[in-house]
Amino acid sequence: MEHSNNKFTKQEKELKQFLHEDPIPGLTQFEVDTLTQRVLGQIPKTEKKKWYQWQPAYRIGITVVSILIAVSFLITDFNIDNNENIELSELESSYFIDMEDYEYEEMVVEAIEVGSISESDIIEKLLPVDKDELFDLEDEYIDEDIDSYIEDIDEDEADRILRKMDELGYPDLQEV
Amino acid sequence: MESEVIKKAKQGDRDAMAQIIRNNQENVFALAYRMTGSREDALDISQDVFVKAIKGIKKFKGKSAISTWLYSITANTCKDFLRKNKSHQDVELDNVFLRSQIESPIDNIEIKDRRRLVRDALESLPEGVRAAFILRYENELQIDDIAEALGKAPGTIKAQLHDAVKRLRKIIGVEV
Repeated sequence: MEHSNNKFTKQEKELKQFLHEDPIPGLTQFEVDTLTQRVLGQIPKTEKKKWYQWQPAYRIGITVVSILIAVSFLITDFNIDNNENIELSELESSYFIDMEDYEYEEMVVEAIEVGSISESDIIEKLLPVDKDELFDLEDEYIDEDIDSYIEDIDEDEADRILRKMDELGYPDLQEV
Repeated sequence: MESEVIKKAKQGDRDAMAQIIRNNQENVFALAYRMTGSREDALDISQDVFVKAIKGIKKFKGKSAISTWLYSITANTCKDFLRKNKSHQDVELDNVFLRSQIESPIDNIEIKDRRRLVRDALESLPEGVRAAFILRYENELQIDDIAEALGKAPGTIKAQLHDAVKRLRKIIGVEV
């Protein structure tokens, strides 16, 4: 029942008392539950809204996020394509190397390219560079193309590196 | 709190719909019971009221309490029901008075007769006046809220209540 600050006159109170001669029957919990179920049973379930049915603020937000994702994807995709092109050209050049002219340096380069050994391994483990010095020069070495660095080493140095790699258990470079 | 539940119900949240039904079921049932004098009819009307309300919840603007809005739907649903079941409204005040006089002495009126007297007295009021009377003296609504629920001017409601009290006091003055 409503709760209010109503003030009733004596006559009105008599009328209220008169109504109470026929008290309103209470509802059982079962009746309450049944009524609720019957009502809800007649209410069609709301289908999940499509994205275009959402409120304008959501739509704007989703559109902005979608654009950002698309832009970032395009940028990333573009970069990947460039990288792939570079890697392909490098691999092509290495596969077209005449086996008769296979030099130690080229074997080291190929070992790096096919992933048998990392550039950082070459720098850290095989090249005669002091650790402290390496720390200072690390960025420079890693940023540089290791191929160009290796090209500068002579045949004896390359031979030494390959032997060292063999001792360290890297795959037989003849099988690479 | 109530506005949050209504907002969720508008979005199709069935738990929120169930909560609205449970919170208002007693008031809706009470008005329907007083309007019809029948427990079964009041239950059926309550179900119709909540189905209409939940289906049309988006039309509820929140300018008044949802209970007031539900009273409005209940009063109209009861009117429709009573029009379709004419026998409910053919009792005249004079008939009620005469019947009570003839059937039993005032002090020996059995409980069921007193209940019958209340129902007959209420049924003797025109539907719109009856709804106003019940909302005022059973549900204890303010005049302005009754006016809003029944779509009438507060002055009209006051006049109707004044008339209803006057007419029903004829019965009270003799029987209670």
